[in-house]
Amino acid sequence: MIDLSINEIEEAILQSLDRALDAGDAGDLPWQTLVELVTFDASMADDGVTFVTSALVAERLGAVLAGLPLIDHIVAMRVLERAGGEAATQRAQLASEHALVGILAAPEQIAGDPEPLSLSGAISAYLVALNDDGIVLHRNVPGESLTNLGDLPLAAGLTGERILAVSDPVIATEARAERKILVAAALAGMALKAVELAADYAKERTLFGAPIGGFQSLAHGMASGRVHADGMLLLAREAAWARDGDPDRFDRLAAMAYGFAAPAAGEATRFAMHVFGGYGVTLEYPVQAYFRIAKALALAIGDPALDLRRIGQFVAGQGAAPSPVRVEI
Amino acid sequence: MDFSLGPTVDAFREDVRDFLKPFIRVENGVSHFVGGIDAERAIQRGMGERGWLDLDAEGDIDWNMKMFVFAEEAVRHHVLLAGLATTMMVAFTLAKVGTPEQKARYLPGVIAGETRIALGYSEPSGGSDVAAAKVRSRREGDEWVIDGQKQWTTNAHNADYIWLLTRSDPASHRHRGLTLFMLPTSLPGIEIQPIVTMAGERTNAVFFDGVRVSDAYRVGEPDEAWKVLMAALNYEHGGGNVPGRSLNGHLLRLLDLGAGLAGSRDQSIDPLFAERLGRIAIDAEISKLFVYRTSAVGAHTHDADVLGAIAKVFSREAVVRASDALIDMAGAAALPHAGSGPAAAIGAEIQHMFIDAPTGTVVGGSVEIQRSIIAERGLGLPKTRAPAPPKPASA
Repeated sequence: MIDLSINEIEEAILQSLDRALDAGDAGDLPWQTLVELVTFDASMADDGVTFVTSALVAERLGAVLAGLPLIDHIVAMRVLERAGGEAATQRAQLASEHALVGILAAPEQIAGDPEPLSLSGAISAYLVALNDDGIVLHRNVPGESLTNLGDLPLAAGLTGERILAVSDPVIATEARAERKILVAAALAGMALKAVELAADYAKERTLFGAPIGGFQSLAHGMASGRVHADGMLLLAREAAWARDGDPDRFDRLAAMAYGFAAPAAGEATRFAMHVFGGYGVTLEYPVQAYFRIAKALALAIGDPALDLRRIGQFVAGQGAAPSPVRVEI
Repeated sequence: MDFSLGPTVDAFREDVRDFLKPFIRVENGVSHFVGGIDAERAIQRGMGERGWLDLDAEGDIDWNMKMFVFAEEAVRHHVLLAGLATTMMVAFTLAKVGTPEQKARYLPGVIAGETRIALGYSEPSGGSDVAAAKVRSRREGDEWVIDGQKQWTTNAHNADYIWLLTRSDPASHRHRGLTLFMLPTSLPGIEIQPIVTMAGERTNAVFFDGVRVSDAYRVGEPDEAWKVLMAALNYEHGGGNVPGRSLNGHLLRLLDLGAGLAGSRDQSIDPLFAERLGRIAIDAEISKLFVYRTSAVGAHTHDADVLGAIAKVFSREAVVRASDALIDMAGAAALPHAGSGPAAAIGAEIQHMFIDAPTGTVVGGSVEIQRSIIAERGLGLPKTRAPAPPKPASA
């Protein structure tokens, strides 16, 4: 039965997360503490910590634009746990080290043949590579990040030795879907926060003798941003819930969550930046970072149009005769 | 967090589908609502008989979700229930603010599915600006005399009452000096004229010429209607928990039609075609989630109006976007009004949904009004509508 509330343990986790994020600045986060906070075991589900909790964490990271590599850490630790056997044993070891683990995967796109990237390759101690036929756990040597649109600790390829491989295409596919959901949740957090920043500015900034937030073209644009951000948020949460709550729809909801959030976050953060006028595009104002990072994250995951296509193919595939059919989505 | 409707509501969906079956004729897979006003009345009565129009359940999540499912199923098959939604919005309001006598007079009929109520807010000179009402009410002893014109009074020709907003103090301005009535449509001096939309829907202009009504039909205090009205508008703006209104049913129907279009092509699905269907599916899913949220919070939490406005803006515009995409995908099949064979039937239905969609961004508070609600009450921005200059006192 419908219950959209955040439970007590999730509230507590988010509060601890906020405290840990506040303790450091962007360049110097308490990674050990953060990693420990978001390393959730499957056994915690009984206490109310599920994949939804991970989505809530991702929303928060997006809102503050800090600790985003934790998204891939969550996905990596989950896939290792699911793989079982030696992978699960290794995972327990990594968890006790409070080591940051990243994901290495090729973005899904139509153009070119992109090489595998890691959003946290420049700072991670380990990487889980997602391949067509399964996953491979590697050590990783942190180093210089590739300079990039979102100033993310991005790296390409592998730098450390291989620890183990698990041949299971399903768990790799599931990990890609989980990653899309958490990125969608982070994008929702970014869009909401960017709109909030814009609204706060628009209340103070006056032009023509009035606060610019009272001008309909700006106010309504920000309202649209809020509408889309809320849509991203609810859809990402539903997709995260479906991981355990509605497994048949999980894949589709992951594609929907990401296929919607990637373009919608771009639009909402761009308009939020626009509200700041010329100041919005300067480095002194944080709103431009939301615009850049929203796009940077999406580029590392893939072209959202491919997810729209997948959903559409699923819908169309249910139509057998030249008549309407009652479709499931 | 839980996004499942649960077994009770899932079972209710089956009841609803059985209940609606006699009112739907399916030809070439295309659904037609049969029976017009008579069918609409029969549906309302049938809902009453089954105990579905339970005013005490307002705000109960389980009942809200049942009414969500009901509306989704009805709208997905073009079962029109405009009068049900307006009736229930007013009934919820009366249950909160009516006198014991008024509750006893109006509510049993609503619960039984016998009473129908139309909304009398809009006037020829202003729809979205509710507080600009000009229809005049004058008190004469125990009676009131009403003169003027309302516009877009949908379902007035099928209603027992019009929930009528009037200006009782001509010297007053905007939100002050307004009085509300449950005006019986049977009173002498009321003339209801049809206005037909391009999509074939009927709405009305209603003329009041010296209509005399007892003070017993007044709701709320004289000149103080705004407070009552805000409660009623909360239901109207509150998103999806009013029976008879669906924010996702149209989108699901467009997907059904889209799958039919795809099925009629003897080749693999074109990627562009699939992308457009994918976008409609996402819009349908999000519209559903927005209704879940408004249903979960109810109509009375502090930000219910904002959450309702968000739901409405998104889903109404999504229907426009989706019907626009689908009619392009259907192409020439959607050009004639009717035709023989399944492809023509799909085309005609898509055409109908295409010309019906633009109404959605206007009715029940335009999307501009909704965006202003989001901006002002959700984001804390200043008033986005310039106040009208005060009227001279001599008016």
